[in-house]
Amino acid sequence: MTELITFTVVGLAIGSIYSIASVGLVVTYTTSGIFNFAHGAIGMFAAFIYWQLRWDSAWGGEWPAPIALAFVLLIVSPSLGILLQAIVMKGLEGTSETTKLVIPIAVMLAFIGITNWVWQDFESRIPEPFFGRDSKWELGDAFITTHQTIVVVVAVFLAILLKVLLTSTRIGITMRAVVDNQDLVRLNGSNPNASALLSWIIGSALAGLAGILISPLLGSLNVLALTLLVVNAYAAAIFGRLKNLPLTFLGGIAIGLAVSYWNWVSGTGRKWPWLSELRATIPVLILFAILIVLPQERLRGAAIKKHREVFTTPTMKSSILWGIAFVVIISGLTPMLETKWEFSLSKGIGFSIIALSMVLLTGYAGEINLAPLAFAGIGALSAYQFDVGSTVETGAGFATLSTLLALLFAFLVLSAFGFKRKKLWVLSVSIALATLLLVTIFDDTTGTGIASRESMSISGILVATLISGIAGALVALPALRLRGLYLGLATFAFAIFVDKMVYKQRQTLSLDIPFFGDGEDITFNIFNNGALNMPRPDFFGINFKSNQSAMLILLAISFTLIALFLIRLKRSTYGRQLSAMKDSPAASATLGLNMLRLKLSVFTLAAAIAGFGGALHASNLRAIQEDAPFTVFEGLGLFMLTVVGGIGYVSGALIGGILYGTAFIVMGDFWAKLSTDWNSFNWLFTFVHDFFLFLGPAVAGIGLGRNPNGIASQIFDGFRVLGQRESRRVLTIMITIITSVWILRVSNLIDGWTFLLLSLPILLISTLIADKRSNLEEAETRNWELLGINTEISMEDEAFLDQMLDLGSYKSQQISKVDRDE
Amino acid sequence: MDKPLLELENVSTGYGIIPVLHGINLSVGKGDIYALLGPNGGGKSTILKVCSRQIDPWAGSVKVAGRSIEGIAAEDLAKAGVCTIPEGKGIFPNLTVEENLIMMTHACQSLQAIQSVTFERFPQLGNKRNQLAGTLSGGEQQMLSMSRALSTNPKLLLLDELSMGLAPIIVKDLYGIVSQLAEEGIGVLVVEQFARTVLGVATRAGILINGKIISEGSPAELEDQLSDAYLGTKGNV
Ligand SMILES: Nc1ncnc2c1ncn2[C@@H]1O[C@H](COP(=O)(O)OP(=O)(O)OP(=O)(O)O)[C@@H](O)[C@H]1O
Ligand SMILES: [Mg+2]
Repeated sequence: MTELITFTVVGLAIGSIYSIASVGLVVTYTTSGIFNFAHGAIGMFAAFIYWQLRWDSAWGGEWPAPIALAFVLLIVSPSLGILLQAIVMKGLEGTSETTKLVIPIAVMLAFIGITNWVWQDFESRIPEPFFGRDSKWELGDAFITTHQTIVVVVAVFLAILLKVLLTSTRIGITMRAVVDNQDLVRLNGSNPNASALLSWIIGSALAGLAGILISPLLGSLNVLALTLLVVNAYAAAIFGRLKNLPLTFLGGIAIGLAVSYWNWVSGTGRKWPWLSELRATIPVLILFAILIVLPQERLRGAAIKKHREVFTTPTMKSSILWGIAFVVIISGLTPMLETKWEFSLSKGIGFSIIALSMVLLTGYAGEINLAPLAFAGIGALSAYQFDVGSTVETGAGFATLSTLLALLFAFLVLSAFGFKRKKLWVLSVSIALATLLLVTIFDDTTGTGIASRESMSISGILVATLISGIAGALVALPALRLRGLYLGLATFAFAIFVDKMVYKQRQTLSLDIPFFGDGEDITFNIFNNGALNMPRPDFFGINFKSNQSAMLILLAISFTLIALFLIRLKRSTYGRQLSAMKDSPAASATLGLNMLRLKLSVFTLAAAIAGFGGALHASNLRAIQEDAPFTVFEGLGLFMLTVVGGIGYVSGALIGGILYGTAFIVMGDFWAKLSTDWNSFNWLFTFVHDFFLFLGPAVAGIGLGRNPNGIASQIFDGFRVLGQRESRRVLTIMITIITSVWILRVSNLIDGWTFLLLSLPILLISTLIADKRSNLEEAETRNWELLGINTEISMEDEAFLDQMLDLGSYKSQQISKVDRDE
Repeated sequence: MDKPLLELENVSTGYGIIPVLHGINLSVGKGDIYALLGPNGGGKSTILKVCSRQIDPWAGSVKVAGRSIEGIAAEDLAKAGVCTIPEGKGIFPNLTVEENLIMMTHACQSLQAIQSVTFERFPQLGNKRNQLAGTLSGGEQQMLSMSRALSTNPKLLLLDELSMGLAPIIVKDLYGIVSQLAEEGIGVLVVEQFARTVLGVATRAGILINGKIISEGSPAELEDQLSDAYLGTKGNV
């Protein structure tokens, strides 16, 4: 009985905090239509400030609780809300789902970055509960702390207050009306910006309150843990369908109780050690379950989008040329880059390969996946388990496993490519057999016992690809109905699950298959000490272990091949089906497309690409750790920067990956070097260095995440002129000069900096020259979309428009057909 | 006091860089019902948006009761007595009927006054106070949006396609209300596709094609030209 009361009270207290956080989330969502991913981070930030004011002896410190509380909740949090609304979130209505996700994610990363920056040192910061740890009262035999009591009372009070505000006051009703129709709110005589502002103020204050209340329950303050804890509230918000406050409130309480009772049943995780991290994942499991079970709202009338992405597909020929150019440039760079830089660049390209999975899934098919790195991590771990680990102990067992996986994989993917019945089976089985053959050929250890080796094998990568592909299908299967935000949240839940249950897994799981083996037939020992040493590959007779250049080129070639595959895919029937699904699932369903198969296959393919990239990436890094490089937050960062790069383009993936893996670190290094060189400006350079390191990605996301096409298209517009016929001469001259500079560099006549200083401007200048030359010719007809607005359209104009719209070939085809007919 | 309630002088505007209106001149006086007719995409709704300050004119001036409305916020104009019922349903679908009425109080009327006017005129809304407005029938939704025109005592009423999707009998009813309002002395500018009904109550009418008012006059005069306008035999200037 005593235990029941104790655990119920603990559950109620945590649940109340979840309720407060989730109610805040719902308020901002119903009044702005934006799911504030940064909600958790705001709570975390507020908790840090509160700690600073209350307990830090060096600065601030020792403010009385009521004053500190009032300061944080009435001044800091509301100001954050105002800043967010006024600077960042305003103007997001009518933008694409992706943009609406990316901007809040960027804000979230910004808060995490700022907090890490300000509270840099690893001091342990321990917040106290209200009235101290010893203040408690007795209920039966159980003790209830004053903090818990306050939490519950405050939560109930706030819930009632908000309900009244939103349904019974004019300002509250106006806040809800703003979501429906801003313009109409104006015509009714009220300023919609004012109500949006108010909702952001309330939202951030509630997030802050939740952060402050929950922090004493955690022990020492920890940026990511605190952020994730408030993220748990997302499940409650979804339970209330993002609009129903009472349901949201109950949802929060229910989640708190579920976590607490689980702790009770499992003896705080001691009973089933390998499930010990489950308590941290219960909220996201609930989130996933609710998303799947909840009946989907009928689609609201599609809002007219202000910005539409227009992703053009490059032709196969130019893609191949670009691909070759990319590999040549990377190979050309290797002689002049120090190993350190080569490593940074390989890291970026490793992320780029993983980012390609998002190009396929989000860019082509319009399905949002916030767990790209979870699939990559699964791939990396599978490759490790096969090549080094001891999960699957015999080569024969391995061969069987990979053959079966290949069969399933091929079946899933091919069925969406229009293969049916007999043909489907024949093809799948032959692919499976080919896999078997491949695995047997490339696996020297098959049949000889333990598959433990010092290098990563081709079969290891193959299995990694297959396993993560199947994992993708398994995640997609229940989530097939979900789209947009809801799909994003479901994949996000999955990413957190993998984060906690796999990367934090310290236990060995032994399963006993009855009547078989010695009692521990399958042992999983995924992450027993928080880091795994990933081997480098050793194939084609090249030793990638000591040769970073070879590794870099291998990554570049892998990237290029997958990118070309994607472009080919995009140009196929399958690719057009994906586009159709992206544009209008309803319309494509009525056209008879099998959406389920399509979605399942594209998830499988994308996850497989992520897994392949993950295995290669981890092998390049030589390690997988619990906190790098496959965590939830890194996944969000990569997603965000890929959108910045241009998620509809393979080049966007390249830009995103390099920004994420290379650019900000290299830039940080650059400033760090400057600060050692010029000591007197140390403070300035250190500041800039820290800025890039902590805030670079977030600022890029906030600044550039709005452009739905990404920067890839802009860069390519710049380069396109160089590729035109008129620019041939400029292009030749440019290539000649850069090649000669490169030869100078390789023969060590100039150093790396000089090379960069010479070749980058040449590149820029030649682009400009080419642009100018072609501009001169096009000057008259540039605004072709405006033709005929002021004057009649002439025959020439019409021909020109046909040419611009690519109708020329169509017409001439028609004409030649007519000719033939005659 | 003989200043027109609404006066457009040489107004041009558009969206982005695409021009829509070219030099519109128009005036609506007290008690007038001005019917603006014309084919789809002519720019009728755009005129109403300029008058209600949802978009800025590029050139020319818009005056309400003799004063230029340049720089005034749309919500302030609404408070000052310019009531705009936009195209489609001018209601908030996710609020209840009652809450929709509460939203109307932003135009400085008491809730009691709004409720009594609305429920007296449209008794069937009275039984549905707590129903979500989005679940009302099309006619009821239109009634709800018209109740703002009725209950907030506007000086100038701008109506966009009142008849859209409604049974002729309801349309007739609604225009009955409009002409009553005009008799009480307010100015009305209505945009319509459905010419017959509105010409019955209008005092003046204009035909708008491709962003220009190609003819203007009494309803009777215009009735003959309408078919030409819609069939596109005129006005392809
Ligand atoms: N928000 C907008 N952005 C860009 N162009 C617009 C926008 N709204 C309207 N237009 C364009 O302006 C022109 C006039 O539109 P408007 O809505 O005023 O026409 P209308 O006369 O009201 O037509 P209808 O009778 O169909 O309602 C159209 O060509 C339309 O495409
Ligand atoms: Mg219109």
